[in-house]
Formats: sequence, structure tokens, C-alpha cells
Amino acid sequence: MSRLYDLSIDEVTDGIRNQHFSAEEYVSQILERISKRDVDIKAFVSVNTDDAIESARRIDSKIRKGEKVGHLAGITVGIKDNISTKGLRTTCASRVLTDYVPPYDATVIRKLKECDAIIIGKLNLDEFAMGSTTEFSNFGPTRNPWNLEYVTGGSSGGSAAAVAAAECTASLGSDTGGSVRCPASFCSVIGFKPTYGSVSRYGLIAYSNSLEQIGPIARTVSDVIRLMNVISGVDPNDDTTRTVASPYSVEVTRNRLRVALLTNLTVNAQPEVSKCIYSAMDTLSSAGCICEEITLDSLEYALASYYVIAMAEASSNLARYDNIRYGFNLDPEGYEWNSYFAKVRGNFGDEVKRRIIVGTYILSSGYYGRYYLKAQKVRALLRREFKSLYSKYDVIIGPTMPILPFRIGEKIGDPIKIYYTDIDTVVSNLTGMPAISIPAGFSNGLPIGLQIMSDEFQEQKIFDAALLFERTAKIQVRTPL
Amino acid sequence: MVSKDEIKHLAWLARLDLSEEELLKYESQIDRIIQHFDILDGLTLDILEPTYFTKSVRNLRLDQAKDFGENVLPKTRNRKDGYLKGPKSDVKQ
Repeated sequence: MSRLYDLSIDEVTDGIRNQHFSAEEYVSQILERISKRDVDIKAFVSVNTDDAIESARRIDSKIRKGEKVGHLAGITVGIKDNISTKGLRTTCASRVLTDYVPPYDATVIRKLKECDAIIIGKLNLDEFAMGSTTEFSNFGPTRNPWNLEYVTGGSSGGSAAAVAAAECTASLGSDTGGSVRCPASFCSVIGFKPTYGSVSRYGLIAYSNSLEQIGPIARTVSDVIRLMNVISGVDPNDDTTRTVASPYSVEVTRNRLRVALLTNLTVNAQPEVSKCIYSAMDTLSSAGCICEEITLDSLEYALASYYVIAMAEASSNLARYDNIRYGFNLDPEGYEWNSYFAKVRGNFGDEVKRRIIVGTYILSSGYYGRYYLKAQKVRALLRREFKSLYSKYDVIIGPTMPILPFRIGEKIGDPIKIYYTDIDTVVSNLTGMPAISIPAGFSNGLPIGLQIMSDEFQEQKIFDAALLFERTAKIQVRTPL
Repeated sequence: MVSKDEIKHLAWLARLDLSEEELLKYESQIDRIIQHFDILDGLTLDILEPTYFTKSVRNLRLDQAKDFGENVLPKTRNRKDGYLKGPKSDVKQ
């Protein structure tokens, strides 16, 4: 069988269940693809080879015996390396978690395994998910499959690049301020940030816990929906989870959607990005949607508020890393308590240290009211204004990223330039509302993503718009390599 | 203006050893980052209650111990007499 690695979730599971090919054949092709392509792309930080082959053989044996298998049987899912996988190294791409092997599975991993999905390996990220390019990884940057000299976006850069290069069927990332949507946009795949509280964070190594959600990345909208139908729902281990309206439909349930283009996002975008998004709006109109343009003044406070909250939460969440239970080799013998911790924590990477220091500053007395409290009020303001917009519109659209992918190393010396690339994505994390990035076109061979947002727990509206756009626009998803 | 000494103090509060080179680099970068946050300082939003979480914690589960089996963290290097070994806690600062 040729090119099994290109197949979608449905094609893989049908093919295996109907014995057109075996799970082992499929997994072997994926592993071969990884060994061939990942030398250049560097999406994977660990490949779960033996375990994946063993799982595939177990599935094949069940099928041959006529036993029931899970509905995701045989698909290969790559996992961002900040999501805990029992017995499989989970590093957050940090020296501080070198060799950490979790003793338990994150809830999303348990749910995938219960459906017989195969965990194919762990994927690169900016250290502790702090970054927008995947350059801040202790393993070095992942390269964009569309052009190896360019960044993948981040922080889930490995998750997006692996899917784009067909090194796995689909993947999971985490999105704190755009970390699923940004690399999905830069790598021309589909990435979804669910409503806060629809996917359990149990086992996701925390960076900014009031903002982050685990989300799927895939090559088709229906694959994203199928994964959401598995990973979302209430989990007693994450009390912020809520009942969701799943299963979501992989068929369009409504095509006369009321769509608003948020022009604040196109005005500041590169002209080629802006042009592409206007053309996406025309595509949605031609598919039956009613489209309008809107502006929202309070959006100018979103980026600063996001970084204040994310950095403050980072500084407290990362206080736990003390190198006692896991970490690298440094004998505490002879060290005084504080000096040992300061020494080992000096091994955080550049961006993590920067955020911890700024976060510590923000939470210091005297500054708390000036920045942190104000940021939380802006969050309340944005939630109120977006709630009001969603009484008039089903979905709001704009670019996912204001710029095209850029060269590796181009912005790394200037953290503020990198922060500014998050300007269109952070608002959905502040409001806790869902958003997707879907391929919308190319400029000079570099991908552009359309972002579709909606109200809390209205994921189906986003999926309807994305399905409509996908089938009308027909943008190439996988790399031609 | 965030001074080098302030950054040194913040790094100590966060228990982060920084090299002289890092201190110099962070001095200019961190000041510029904070300047971008000043857009918030001027805002008057007194009528609004802050939103710390978009979903609040409602029903905390029981705090029950869960047995993960023996040797939960097999890679832990510093052990002594069946315990994890940490640095001494007598603070000399």
C-alpha cells in the first residue's frame, strides 16, 4: 500500500477495521516517514517506536479474532511534550525536566488510549510552552515543512509540523495565548483551541492555568472534530471542566451563519495576509453566510493584559521546580537550601527566566494594582463585549497571525517582537472562548491561516463555518514533499 | 525604570541564578516589556469586577491518596536511606 501516511482518521480506521491494510503496516509507514522526514523537520523529541508497534499488533490481533476495537483504532497521535504520558519521557523541552518520566497519563491520553489510538511520540515546543516560534526549546527549533529556513510558529510547533509533514495522523498541542492556532496557521494545518473548561487539563504541565487548554491539530476539520469528541468533557480531576454539547457533528448543521470580520485584526496585518482574509470572507459569503465588518476598541488592551496574566501565573506555577524529584544531575550535598534552588533554576532557558522575573515583578506589592488587577478587569471587559457581539453574530473571523511565517533566528533577539505576533490570538484565551485556525491560502509559498472564533461552548458554530470554508476554498493542507 | 539591582532582587525572590551577562541583557529587555504594560496603568475600569478565572472551581474532589505503585520516579538520582535527598535547610543568608 502506498502513502498510507496521508490518510485521514476515518480512512485509517476504516482501512484497518475492514482489513484493507493492517494497523502494523500503517504504523510502520508512519515510523518510516518520521525517520525520513524528521531529520530535517525535527518535530519529534521522543518516538514511541516499540510501544506503538506493540499496540498496532494488539489491534490487528483483535480484528483478526473478530473482537471489538476502539473507534480510533490504529490512528497515530503525536503529543506535545508538556502533556504527561505514563512511562514516556515528558520534558517540556526544558533542562529542568530532563529525564522526567510521568507515573500517570493525562486525562486526554487516557481517553485516546481507551479508543485504541496509538501514541506515536512526543513533540517539540518552546520550553514550558512559552514562545511563539518553537525556537526556545532545549532541543533546538523545529523547522517549517513548507520551507525549512522558516519557523513553525509555536509553542506547539512540533505538533503542527508533524501533522503538516504527515508524520502522524493528528496531534495534540496546548494553547495558552495562541500556541495551537499560531503553528497551525504557519504550517497550513487546522488547530483548535476549545472553550476553557471543555477539555481536562489534568496531566498538562501548567504554565498559565487560567488561560490554557489542550487542543487538537489535524489535516481536516472533521479529524479535529473527531478528536474533540474523544478528549472533551467533565473530568473529576479538573474541576474547571464542564459538560459539553458533544458529540459535535462532522457535517455542517447550519450554513446561513452570521459572520463578522473583526477589522482591528486586518488593519494591522501584513497586506497579503489582510487580502487573503477578505477573500476568505467572500468564500464564506458564497457558501451562504451573511458577512459584515466590525471593530472593537477595547481589543487594544488584550495583548498587554494577556502577557501580564500569563507571566504572573508562570512565575508561580514554575516555583515548584526544585530539581529534587526530577531534573538533571546535581548532588544537593553541601549546598544550602536557597543557593541550591537558585543554582538549579538558573538552568531554565532564556525566555522562561525572562517571564519568571517579569511575573515576579508584576506580583510584587505596589505593582499588583497597576498591572495584574487591571489585566483581570480587562478580561472582564472583553468577556462582556464579546458576549454582546455573539448575541448578533454566530462567529467572528480574522487572521490567525498578523504576519507570514518568518525566518528562524529573525526575531529571537527581540522578545517584544515575538510577543506582538500573538496579538490576534490572545483574546480567546482571555475570554475563555473557542477559536480555530484553518488554512486560507499562501503568499510566496508561505501559509496564511483564517481564524474563526465563537462564544463559550459554541464549538459547533466554529466547526460549521470551518467545514463550509474547507469544502468551498479547497486549500492544500499537507506539504508537497 | 527597572534597574539592574531590582532585577537582581527579583531573581533572588524567584530563586534564579543569573550571570552578569544575563543581568545586563534582562535590564534593557525587562524594562521595555514593563513599558508595554503601562497601557493598563492608565485605564479606569473601577466599575468592573476582575475575572481571575472564566470557570470557577465548584466541587473539589476529596483529597484522597492514590497509590501509584512502588518506585514512582525511578529516574530520581539523589536518594539516601529510602528517602529523596535535598539540600540542608539551615539558612545562612
